[in-house]
Amino acid sequence: MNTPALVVFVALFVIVTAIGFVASRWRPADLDQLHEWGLGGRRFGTVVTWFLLGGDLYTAYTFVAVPALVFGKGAIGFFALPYTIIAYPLVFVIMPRLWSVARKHGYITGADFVRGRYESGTLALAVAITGILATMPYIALQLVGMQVVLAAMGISGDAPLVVAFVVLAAYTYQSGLRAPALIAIAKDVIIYIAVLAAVVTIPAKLGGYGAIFDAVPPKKLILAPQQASAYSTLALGSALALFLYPHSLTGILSSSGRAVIRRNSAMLPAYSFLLGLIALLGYMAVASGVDKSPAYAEGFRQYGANYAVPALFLQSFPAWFAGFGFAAIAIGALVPAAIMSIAAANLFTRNIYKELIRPACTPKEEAGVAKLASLVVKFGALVFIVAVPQEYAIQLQLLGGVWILQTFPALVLGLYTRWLHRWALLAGWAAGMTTGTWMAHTLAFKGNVYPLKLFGTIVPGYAALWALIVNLAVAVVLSAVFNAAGVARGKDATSPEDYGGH
Amino acid sequence: MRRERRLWPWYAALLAPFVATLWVPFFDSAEPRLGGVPFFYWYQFLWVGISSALTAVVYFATQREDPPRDPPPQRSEGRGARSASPPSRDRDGGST
Repeated sequence: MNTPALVVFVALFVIVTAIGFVASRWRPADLDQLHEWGLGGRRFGTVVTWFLLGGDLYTAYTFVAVPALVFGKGAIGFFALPYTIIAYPLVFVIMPRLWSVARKHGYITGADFVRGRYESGTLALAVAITGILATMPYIALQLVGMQVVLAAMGISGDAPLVVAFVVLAAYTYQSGLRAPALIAIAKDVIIYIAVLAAVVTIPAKLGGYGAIFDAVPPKKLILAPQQASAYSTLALGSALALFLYPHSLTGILSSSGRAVIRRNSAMLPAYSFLLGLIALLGYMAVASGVDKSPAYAEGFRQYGANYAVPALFLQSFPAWFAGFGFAAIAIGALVPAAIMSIAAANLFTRNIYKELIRPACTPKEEAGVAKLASLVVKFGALVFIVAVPQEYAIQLQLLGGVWILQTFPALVLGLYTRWLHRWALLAGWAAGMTTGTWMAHTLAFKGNVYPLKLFGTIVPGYAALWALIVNLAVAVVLSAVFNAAGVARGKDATSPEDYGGH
Repeated sequence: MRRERRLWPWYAALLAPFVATLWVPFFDSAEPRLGGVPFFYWYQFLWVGISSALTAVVYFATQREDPPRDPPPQRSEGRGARSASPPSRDRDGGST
């Protein structure tokens, strides 16, 4: 067991836990209201939103899996960078509209908007269930990130994970979205210190960046021509999907205004820069040869490429600072796990419980159900990761990305046009879900790049994007048919001014 | 409607990062290196900065087109009490 690392790790963890509980008294308000518990009262300004979204979108799993992909597969793993470059201009243009209409009508989830826009509980339910299905394995994967760093410190077994998650569940229950918002500030400071230290000191030891890139096999260093379409469709599809995830929408809707979102679109790329540096840790792991060192053989055997960054930290840093870096990753798991469980709880409460079970429930009951649901969601993720082989969680998260993109037409196009018919959107969603799942199935759920045969050539691309094209085609064709046939379109609860102009 | 027509050229500027980073042949090369870093990598890092700067420019250029600002934020006690009914403001909130 690595005692100095563990001492630093536990100390940071305790501080963060204290912050989580104190958060309930930060900007005090009635936490028995769902928009207070689940959206922090829509009051977060530019700075808090920057930390919250940064902590929310760049998860522990990202910090482990992105460099692991670069370590194992080379340049293709770098698609995370263009993905996070193009995501923010999209947020800049699209999300202020969603914020305005949600503020006007008290919408807490994306599905709330869909329900109001199309007067269709069924379409809203499809959006809500997709969101919950995509989020659950994502929460489970945060535990994987934690498990890997615990193993690197010589801690095995499920008990520490259970403790960490029980603590997390307790303060999320008590403080709601305020807890991850406040913790995110501490978390991001720790992460920035750890990563900047890594990208300065490790290359110095390895002989500079030139030497690091020279150690990478030339074939892996840049993309092969047949990888180009996979690279750009992965980047585009992931960018379009990013802000459909319930936890991202929760972060957006909790901000205090349109200008906060617009400003953050220019400021959040600081995290993209950080992510690019983190991706390069994968090459540093290659250059340092940790995978050939007998000291880390057991870790690599158990966790595969995901062990690359922990091994690199152990080899390159003094033990206490390795503990600091591991704490960055583990705390990096807590923030998104908390926000994801709150987002899933909001969806369950608003779009399943209130829709199907108790339409007349009081605001207090609504908040109570959401708090309980957040516990159930986290408990489910914990059971999943303890009882089911880890690779299933990873496969499900890949599928989750394919699924969540299928809510794009209803949610994003719905912000701009009411031309699409509610039943056509539902049919398109079903077609997209089926196509995407089928493509993933033909890949044995091991990858998400589907080789599409197009006019005699094969175009490998992100299955989510291929499925979205099918989804859109069905939605457009059926909308034309249903609109022409005069099928009832439902009443639009929103009006053009509600979207805030542009 | 007129407002949207004025905004459109600014928003179109935001297409640049898409073209620059999604068209792989632009940057799929190891040379020229910069401080030992292959072109593929430093080009994409560069676009993180360019894209962020472009977004900032468009933000400032279109700021005036944003709906007029709210009165200064109220005290938090008042907001908590008001929250029983869905908030009806749809304009820029004050950033706190």
